[in-house]
Amino acid sequence: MGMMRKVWPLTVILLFVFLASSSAAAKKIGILGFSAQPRYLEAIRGIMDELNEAGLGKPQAEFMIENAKANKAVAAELVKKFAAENLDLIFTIGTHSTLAALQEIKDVPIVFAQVYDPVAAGIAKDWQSSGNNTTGATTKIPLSKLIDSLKLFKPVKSLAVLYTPGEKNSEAQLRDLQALQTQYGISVIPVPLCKPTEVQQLLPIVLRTADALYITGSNLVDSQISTIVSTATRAGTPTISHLQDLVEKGVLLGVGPDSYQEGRLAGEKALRILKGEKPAAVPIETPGQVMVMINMKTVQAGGFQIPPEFMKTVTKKIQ
Amino acid sequence: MLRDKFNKSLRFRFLSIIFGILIVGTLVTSLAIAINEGITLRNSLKSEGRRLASYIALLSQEPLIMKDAIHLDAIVNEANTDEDVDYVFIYDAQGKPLTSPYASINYRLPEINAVLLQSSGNQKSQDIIRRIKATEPIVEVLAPITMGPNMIESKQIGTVIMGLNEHRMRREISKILLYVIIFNLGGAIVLGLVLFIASTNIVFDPITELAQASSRLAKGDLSTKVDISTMGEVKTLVNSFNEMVDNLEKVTVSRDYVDNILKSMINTLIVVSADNKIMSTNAATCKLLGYKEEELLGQPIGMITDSKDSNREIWMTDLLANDNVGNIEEFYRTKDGREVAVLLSASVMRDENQLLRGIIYVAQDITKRKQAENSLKESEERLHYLASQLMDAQERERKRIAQELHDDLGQSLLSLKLHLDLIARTLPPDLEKSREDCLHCLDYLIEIIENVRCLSYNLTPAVLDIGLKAAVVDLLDEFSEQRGIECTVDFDEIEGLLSSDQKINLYRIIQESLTNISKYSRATRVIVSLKNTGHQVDLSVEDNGEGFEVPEILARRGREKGLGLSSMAERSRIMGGTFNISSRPQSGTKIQVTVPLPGNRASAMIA
Repeated sequence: MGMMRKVWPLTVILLFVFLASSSAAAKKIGILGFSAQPRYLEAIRGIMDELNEAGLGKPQAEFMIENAKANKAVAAELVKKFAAENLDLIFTIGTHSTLAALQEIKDVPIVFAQVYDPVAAGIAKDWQSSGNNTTGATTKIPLSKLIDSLKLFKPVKSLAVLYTPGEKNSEAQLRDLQALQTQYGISVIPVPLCKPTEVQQLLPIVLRTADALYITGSNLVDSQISTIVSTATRAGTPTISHLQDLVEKGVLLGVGPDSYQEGRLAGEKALRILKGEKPAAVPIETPGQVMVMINMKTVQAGGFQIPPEFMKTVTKKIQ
Repeated sequence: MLRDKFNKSLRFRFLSIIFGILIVGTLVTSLAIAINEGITLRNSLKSEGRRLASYIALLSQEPLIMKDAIHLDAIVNEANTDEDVDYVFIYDAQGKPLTSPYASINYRLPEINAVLLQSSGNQKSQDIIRRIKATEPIVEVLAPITMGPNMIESKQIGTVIMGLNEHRMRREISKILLYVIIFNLGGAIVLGLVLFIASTNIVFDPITELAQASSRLAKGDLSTKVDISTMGEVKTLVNSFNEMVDNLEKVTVSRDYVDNILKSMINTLIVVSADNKIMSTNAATCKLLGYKEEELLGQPIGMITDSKDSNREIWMTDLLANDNVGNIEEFYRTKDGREVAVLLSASVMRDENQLLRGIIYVAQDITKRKQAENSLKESEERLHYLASQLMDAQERERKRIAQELHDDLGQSLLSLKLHLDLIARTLPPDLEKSREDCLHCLDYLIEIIENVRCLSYNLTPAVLDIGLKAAVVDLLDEFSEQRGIECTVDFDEIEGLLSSDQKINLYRIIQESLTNISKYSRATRVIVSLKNTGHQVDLSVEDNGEGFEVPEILARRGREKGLGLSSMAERSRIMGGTFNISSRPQSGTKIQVTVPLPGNRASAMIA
């Protein structure tokens, strides 16, 4: 609820922007957010800033911004609504909303953000060319970087990965980590979470054996993040994610792109399309800048010792 | 107290037995159902597990080939949403687990969760399975994952191992058992209550009522009746009880009646058992003997009947032979050792088999009668003594008178005769007249002298002088001459055998008999015989006179009773012999006297 309270004013602002720009008969742009997660909103802010700076802001363009409220059915409905409008471009935030849009809409360019691995998720054929009407910015960083960072913090042997089966984003991260097992001498333990109750059932068991907890970005994990973090912190197990907003919510370590920057990258791609390029011709990219984040509150709560070598690599401390 | 009473009561036991049987029945039924259900449910669990494992194997085929562990995890994770499933592991052909333990094990189950929480950090799936198996009731099923164009040519590329827990099955069984037990116990309670109520009405209430009635009866309340409606054997029981009470009342009343009679009897009553123990007595017995009733009961009868004068052995033989004896004079010994004369009757009690059960003695105190008898006997003896003294005195007096008559009066008269004769002879002839008178007086005097001599003779028979036979012959000669009656004498020689008193008495009896014959009989012939039988002397005086009714004569009292007969009897008695008179009208009279010779005495009697 607290999160929602923070989110609402922003939504109202965006709605205002959209209403203001509707009068101009320029571009009509739809934005479909799968949920109102902070990192999604950050991405949208990045997109809007990028468009504004390019002169395609509120007055010049007409925006339709919708929130699927983490529901695939709602997302499908909203996609149908978008399809009915004569939109010039659609931004989709999150893997689910992208997949929903791609299923319905083939003739309008779709620019996604906050997708981890569009190839693994079946959105695009290839990072260089999607082979369809999509392109976008991803959150996928080489997870080797993440493991490097983690090992710098603590010499972990086993890494439990909390993921949600069926969520492509989440599964893709697991798969990438599994691929790194041998190389880094760690054992990756998949921990599937399907229901919120399972967090409390499974986490104590997982924490008995795992040296660290990797938290993939999934809607279930997002909703249970405070429980996960507090439980792990109490057990003295470090938590790590590639998502910035999860770190802000209490995950100890974060190694990943800045959501706002990802949004700007997506905006950049959209501008190229609006200028006439085909989406398939615009490669899919992750922002080059990788942040190393640490949540100092969690450090204090868990009494974690931070090695100085790690501290040197930290780019963002969350107080 | 009440509870204790209830616990001991018949109905409590009955109720306990009913409930016991029903509960045991319920438990046995439940056990049978549990076993049966257990087998059925385990089989269905196994077949369900096999089906599920086969399905998982089918689903796993492609991801296994593709080595898509996440897909396999998703499959087993999905399978683990079934609460029967404890774990599903997928192994490759080399037996290496491909699925994550967190996906493979159904940690959602509290039991498994607990096991996992307690286990150490070892994450090997084999160990986890072993641990789960050790603590959980597991049914494990395997399904091969195959790859190939058809069933025959297929090759195994992996295995699905599925562990199914029996919790749900056990819960099901528990639920069924709970229902069965509740249903059965409910049925048992209802059935038990119905049986209890029914049996209470039919059996226990009447029995309780009977028990209370019996208790009242035992305390002596003969008015006790059981008034309760029932049926069957219990009804018979109740009726029999009431009948028994009725009969008991009658019997008791009649027994009281008999008791009262026995108590108020003046005669003593003693009932003796077959072994001669006193079984019962009455108040009269106790009063006579000075014992209390309880002192007598159970004691041998000999305690009161043993007496040196008893003829018990004699009459007891009689009693046992004839079953009763009466009017026996016996003695009872009192508590203070006195002997009381009683007139005893006894009768034998026998049972239906004629075996001796006891003897009833009824006795009457005859002490007073005895005393009266004794005094009568004494006065009789004194009378006899007086009579004999009288007769002695009479004889002596007769002898003295005879002596006087003979010696004094006879001599005087003789002297007077001589004087008168002398006078007559010396009287002058002129005084012829006087001489004639004198001679006349002399004749008269001679007659007087003869009379005196005769009187003297009669007074003192010469029997002692000339012997009894001669005296009797003399007497009869004279009697025959005077009365014209033919007399016959038939005497044995007895002179030395009898005393002088006996001789006189016999003589007097004959004399008296002749007097009677001459007075009353009008007989023409008299036979007097005296026989010596060796041990006694038999005298008989027989006439052919008119005779008489003996009882009639003997019944006369006082003077009218022929003094002659009495004195004859008395004389016989004095001699220690017997006297008998036999007579009938027109048939003559016979008097018989026996005199025992020394050593052969018997008491005199009149028949």
